[in-house]
Amino acid sequence: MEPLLSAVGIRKVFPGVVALDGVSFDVRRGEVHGLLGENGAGKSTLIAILYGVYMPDGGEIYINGRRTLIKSPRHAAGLGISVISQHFALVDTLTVEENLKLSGIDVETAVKIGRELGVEIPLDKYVGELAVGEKQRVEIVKALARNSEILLMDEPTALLSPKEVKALLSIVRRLAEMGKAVVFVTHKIREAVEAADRITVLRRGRRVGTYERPFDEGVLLEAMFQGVVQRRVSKSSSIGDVIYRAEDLSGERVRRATVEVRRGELVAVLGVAGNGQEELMALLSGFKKPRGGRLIINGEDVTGRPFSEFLRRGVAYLPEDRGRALAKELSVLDNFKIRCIQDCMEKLAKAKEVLDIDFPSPFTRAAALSGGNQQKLLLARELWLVKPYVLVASYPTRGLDVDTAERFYALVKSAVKGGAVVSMEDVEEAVERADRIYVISRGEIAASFTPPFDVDEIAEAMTT
Amino acid sequence: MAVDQVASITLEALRSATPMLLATLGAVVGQRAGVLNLGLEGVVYLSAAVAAAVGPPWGFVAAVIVGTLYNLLYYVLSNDFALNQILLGFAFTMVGYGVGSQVARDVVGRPIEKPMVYGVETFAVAVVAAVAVYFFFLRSRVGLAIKASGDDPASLDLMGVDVYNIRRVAGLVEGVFASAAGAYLVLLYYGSWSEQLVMGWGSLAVITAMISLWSPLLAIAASLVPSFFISLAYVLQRLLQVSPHLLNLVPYVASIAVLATVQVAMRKTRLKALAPRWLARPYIREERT
Amino acid sequence: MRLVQRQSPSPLHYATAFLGSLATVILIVFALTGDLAVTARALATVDAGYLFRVFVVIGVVSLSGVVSYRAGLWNIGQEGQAIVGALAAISADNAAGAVMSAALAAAGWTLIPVALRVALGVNEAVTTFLMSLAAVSAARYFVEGPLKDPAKKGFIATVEAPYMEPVLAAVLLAGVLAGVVLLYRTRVGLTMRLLSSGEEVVRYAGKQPKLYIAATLGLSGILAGIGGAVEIMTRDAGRYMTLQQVSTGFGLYGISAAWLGGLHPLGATAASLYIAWLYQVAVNLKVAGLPALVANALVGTAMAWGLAGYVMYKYKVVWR
Repeated sequence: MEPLLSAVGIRKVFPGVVALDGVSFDVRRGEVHGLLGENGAGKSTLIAILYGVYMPDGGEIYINGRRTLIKSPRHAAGLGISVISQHFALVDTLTVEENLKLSGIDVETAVKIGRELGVEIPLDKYVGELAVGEKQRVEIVKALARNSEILLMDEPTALLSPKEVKALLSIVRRLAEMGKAVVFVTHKIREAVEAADRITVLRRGRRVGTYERPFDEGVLLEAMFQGVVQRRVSKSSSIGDVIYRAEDLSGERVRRATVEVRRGELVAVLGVAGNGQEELMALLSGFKKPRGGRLIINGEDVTGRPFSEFLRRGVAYLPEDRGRALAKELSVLDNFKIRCIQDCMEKLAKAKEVLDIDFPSPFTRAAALSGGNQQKLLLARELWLVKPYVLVASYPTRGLDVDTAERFYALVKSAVKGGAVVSMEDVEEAVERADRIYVISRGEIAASFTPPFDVDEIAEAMTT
Repeated sequence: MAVDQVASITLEALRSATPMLLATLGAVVGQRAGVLNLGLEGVVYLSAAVAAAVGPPWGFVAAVIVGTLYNLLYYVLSNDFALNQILLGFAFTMVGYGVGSQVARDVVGRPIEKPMVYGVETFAVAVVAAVAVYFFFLRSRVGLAIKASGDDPASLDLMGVDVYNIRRVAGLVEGVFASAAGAYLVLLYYGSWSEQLVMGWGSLAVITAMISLWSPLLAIAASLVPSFFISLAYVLQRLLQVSPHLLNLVPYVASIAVLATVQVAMRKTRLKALAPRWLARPYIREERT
Repeated sequence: MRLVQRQSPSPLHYATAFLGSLATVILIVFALTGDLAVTARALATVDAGYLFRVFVVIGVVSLSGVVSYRAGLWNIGQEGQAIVGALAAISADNAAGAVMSAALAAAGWTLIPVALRVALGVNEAVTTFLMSLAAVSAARYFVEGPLKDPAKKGFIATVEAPYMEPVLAAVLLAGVLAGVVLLYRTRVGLTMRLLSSGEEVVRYAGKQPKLYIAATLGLSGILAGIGGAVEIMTRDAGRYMTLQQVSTGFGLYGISAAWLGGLHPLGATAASLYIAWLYQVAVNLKVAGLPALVANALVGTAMAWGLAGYVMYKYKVVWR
């Protein structure tokens, strides 16, 4: 069967990184084509190119066999393409109805389609008030109401709870049955296997291969990582006294959270996205002042002190938004100097070697580094250079390839002198890495677990 | 006598409130779209100069055409080409001063025959325009898109609405309002032209738009703030022995003070949500965060 | 058409911007005069001493722009700050005292937008811009009132400011330039530049953003004030202000030079020479009978080109 959409030899270069290097890909009517790869493989870039957000530096796109130059998202929408990504095409400050209107969708049609799909559309609510899952369902209804032939779904499961993921996967199958061409992007092999008719694996901007049913998970794993990854599971052997303690910590979303870190411990804070973990980490690090509760380092109350005081006491904070910690317009060296006082050139050169950071010169702008290298630079500065006592890290491994994530955990072991609190979204990762797990739900610590961990029990706690 | 003075100030204020309201409505539309256009001052100035040079009645039409095109050029450069909004606005104001003074240099000081206008009726027209803009934002798709472009251009773009196009539309509307204000100032308000005469109106409108919390209806009231103080200064000049130059400071000081007060009120309350979230930030499609 | 990030920034495009500005200026001058010979004369007539004086003033003010914009702060009130600086110079007895009091007065004047920004979060671009307009009226009050020279018969003007040798002013410029370059090598300077990436980054670095915002805007205002003082003091004659001659336009010229110079202290100083030449061209045109504000138009386009240079430095334009 003739593919509805095909991309041939797509290439895209960003400052500091070749995101896509001659990738070819196609999708047919009535199929779900899984696009699988680890972070930084180029999946999202490909989707953005197919939707006209990025202009490719090379390659061709054919729709219905006709060569097409996709000029803008507006143009793509006109060609019958819809995208559902983590960045929702919804404006928070408008109501759902206004958003539908803005997208040129007849509200009644949308409600009808929603009903057929078993989804209620909260027309009068502001989008900003909706939960992530609700937003996503509005997006799917939008795509259907637009009568889009091609649906691009970029990591649609990333922000959902396990239960919502199940519901979504069944909707995805339904869409294919309706004759739509669906591209389903994920970094989770199991999801791809469950939802897709064909799977294309990308790795570091190149296509490794396209696989047909029945899938062999081992083959897919091999294709994703090409055997380079050997996950080392090493837990702390000796755990000491409590060195850091937050009591009844409250903020805007976080309510009365109590968290403890012992010497030598790696504590995971686990939760479905949007349950207040970003704020909790900002509060724990002292970067944000709490509305209530106490923070105690080594038995001393430091609640409400300025962040500089926390820094002095050896707290390091890795925010989820790198823009908070890196000045993108300044050079790599200037960024390094944020924490470095003396012999910075030499130390930076050393860090570059130790952590394998790729930048042409110390005077390169930080913005010109790839996401992975920016993160490594940050790790070099906050961990390798500073050697903190307590590390508070918000999703430090999000968006990192497995190799860099591995480096992060190794660095935590070698550089952090006291203990670490790390927020994560993946149960498996937490179980594998942590000495203790707190589950956060709706801003509250819903449960805490110590080894031996029961994955199902933890997943259950995340969704209640 | 006191009653007389109050009536005189009020009438004076209404007369000068018309151009202020028109320019403010323009600024409201532009800032809602996410563009902090300090070039508005230049647009008002240039269109006033054109109106003076051409003279009534065609001066009005010519002023609106020239002023709108000038404003559109600003929008294309600051959005499509992402030149810094604030500094480009400053440059446009300066170029507007330069070109405007050249255009109207032959009519400096020459009186322009102005029709008999009380100010109340023109203000009524401007109020109708304000209500129209209000419904434009409330009801029309373009109005929604303009608001979205100032709050979250990236999502709007993903929705399949061309942000740059929407901003050009906003620039067009803003240009028409601002240049109408400029033409009004010369043809109906001052009735003459000099290089210094219409300076400051566009800048005050930028602030008034902020004071009105970007609401066209509140703009009706907010536009009276500088107008009231301008008129007050005007009337006080005849009464008091204070330097007219010091009195000229009053509208600026008062506007800044009111703006500061409004901002404090905004920070403490939910009004904060009214501010366009992307104001003065460029939107570049390929630059994702 | 769209903008695509360059692999690495291209400083060469500031040269493109410079050439673009030059072409624009030639076109404008030709359009205004309508005569090739007059155009050539307007472009080629240069009074070296005058040019040097103007260059020094623009150079000082341009550094005010660099300091502010490199920190991502939008002080565009250099004109007003310069006026205040000039007033302070007029009321001083000697050149050194004039520079000191200009710095103080400008700092005080800038304190208003600084306080509004730091305490209440009011956008400093809007307030500084408006205060430039207000400064004109304020200065006129001083011309007619406190600083009026009773000895001048027949016209209203202030007393004269002390004289400063242009060479001395050039030394001052060199000092300020060196100061800014050195400042950027210190931790304080680094923190100021960090501000351009947002207040959060500064706080993350363990510093107080508000303190640095105030310091940076204050320094920017002081430099503009000194520029204004230097301007009035280095004049050959007429070191006073009249009701008509309050605003000199040097705020705009300095900002333009800052952008054309790529917001780099040395670049801005180099660009100041070009802007000074533009000013000379505008003066030549004025002699030929064109309005004084034409200078603003010339320099305004130069500034737009400077802004374009900054965009071209980071992005390439793809036409399709």
